[in-house]
Amino acid sequence: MSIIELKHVTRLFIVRERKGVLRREQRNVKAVRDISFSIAPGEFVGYLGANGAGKSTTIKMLTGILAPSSGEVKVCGKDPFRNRREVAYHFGAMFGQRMQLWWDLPLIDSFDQLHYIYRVPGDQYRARLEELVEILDLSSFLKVAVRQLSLGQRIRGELAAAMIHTPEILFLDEPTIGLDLVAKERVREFLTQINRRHNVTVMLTTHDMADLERMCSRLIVLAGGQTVSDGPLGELFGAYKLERTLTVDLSEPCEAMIIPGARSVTIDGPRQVFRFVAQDLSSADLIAQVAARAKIIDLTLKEPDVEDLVRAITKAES
Amino acid sequence: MSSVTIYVRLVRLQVRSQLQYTANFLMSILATFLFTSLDLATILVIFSNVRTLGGWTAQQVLLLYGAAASSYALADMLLGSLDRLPQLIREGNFDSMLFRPRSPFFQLLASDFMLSRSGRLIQSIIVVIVICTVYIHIAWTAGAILILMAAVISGAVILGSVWVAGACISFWIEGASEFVNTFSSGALFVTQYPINIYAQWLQIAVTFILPIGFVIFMPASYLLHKAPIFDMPSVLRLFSPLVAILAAAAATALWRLSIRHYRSAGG
Repeated sequence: MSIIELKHVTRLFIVRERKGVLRREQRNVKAVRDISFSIAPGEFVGYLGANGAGKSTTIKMLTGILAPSSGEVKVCGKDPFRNRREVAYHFGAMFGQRMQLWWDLPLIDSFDQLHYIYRVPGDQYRARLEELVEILDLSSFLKVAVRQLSLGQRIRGELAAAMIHTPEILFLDEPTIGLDLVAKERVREFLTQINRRHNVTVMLTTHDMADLERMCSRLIVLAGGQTVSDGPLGELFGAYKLERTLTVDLSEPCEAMIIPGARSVTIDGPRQVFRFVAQDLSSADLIAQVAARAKIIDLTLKEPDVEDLVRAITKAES
Repeated sequence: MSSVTIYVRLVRLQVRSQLQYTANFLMSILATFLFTSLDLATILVIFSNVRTLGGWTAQQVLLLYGAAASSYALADMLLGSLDRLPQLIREGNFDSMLFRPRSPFFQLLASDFMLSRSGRLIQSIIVVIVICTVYIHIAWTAGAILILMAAVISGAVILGSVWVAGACISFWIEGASEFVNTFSSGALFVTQYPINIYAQWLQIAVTFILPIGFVIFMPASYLLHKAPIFDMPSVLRLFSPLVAILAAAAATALWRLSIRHYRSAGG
């Protein structure tokens, strides 16, 4: 039984463009075209794609904000647009920079408001709140007005707000964006926990590679409004060899170096950039080989990021 | 629990937090009070130059002002959050009201309740009471109070419906906030003076199209024995509650239609 199901879903937007003073042209843009996939209860899915690939449009259709132009969307067995309020009890959502909490009220008041909005019985609410306060460590700022919270505290508050009514599904758009490492870790721990302990199905979009590696069991990749890849995380990571990037600043300009397993990408005066795959060559090895040929003054090593992954998959599949 | 109960609960929480800063709260009530008194001063300045305005004496216009401003203030207290709609839509925050299991309309109304808006209500009610008691020598019977309240509440519903209709525009056209503001402040100005002083087209517009002429002016002109505009049947001017119901129904239908058309910001 799947908890989320899309069958041949397409969503058009009508874009009006000004051509001259009075003339306007209408154009149909397909934000999402013929997408089909289904997600089982308890899955932790990373939903990826470049900007404009159709991620947000899909999430908006799943949350009942937008209706599909054609095709079928089912969340917990129901059409979320037609049964908006009914389906709303089954999911929680957190859309990155968008606020759900009441800006001027203490954090605890936002939870109180949601407890009424979602008709959570009093004792169940108190037990739930106690649990969330503990896992997300909210107790020190529960009574502080939301506008006075730090970003990390606010995101934790937003996560608790999305979970107050014990939803079976959680939609997350960039939950860790802008957070420092410690705060990111805390958010990931929380999400992993509710996924494992309460079997909450999570669908997440992110630009953070570690979010994927630490939490997701499955990746769905979109490009141009279509799914280009859908499968277990490990399989995808194995199939696409992603390159690390090493940038070195040498003491003086130097000729291109030929090092097996690495390719020299750019040479800009004393600066040289290499790309290499971790499985073929370790970064320590590469640095040692460069250092044997010239004096290194400075270096930076960049791990492949989500954009690289999406780009590699998109390129291979189209 | 109905949407109205939820509204009351949400508003109560906000009122509680606004009351926490007592000094700040009292200051902002006072500020609204003084600011709206400027409208009153304008009327007094006009009547220091003329004796009547469209056949209405100073006391009569002050009564009209007080009652119409009460309607406005009442509508503003309940529907003031509508002002935020264009911004909520532009920044995509309206989405979160849509995916919660409650009426987005009442969530919106409860989202920015400001008790300090009651400053204007207090001021205009005082004006009505003073004028009625001191100049018009009204006997404060239950009937008189009932008529006055019915007129003020109908007026508030009509104004509110016009605002809701204005706010709906932002579902269809981006960046329509100026338009929405014009709706609310323009409506207040028009209703504070006898409508027969305006140009013919405006009289037609506020009687038959956006019926804000029925906000106090129509019933008041009946009760003060003025000649009806457009030679309409005299008693028709007492029909503002009916006009209010029709306006509210039209606004509700437009709101529902607009919500279905909503396409959300940011692709």
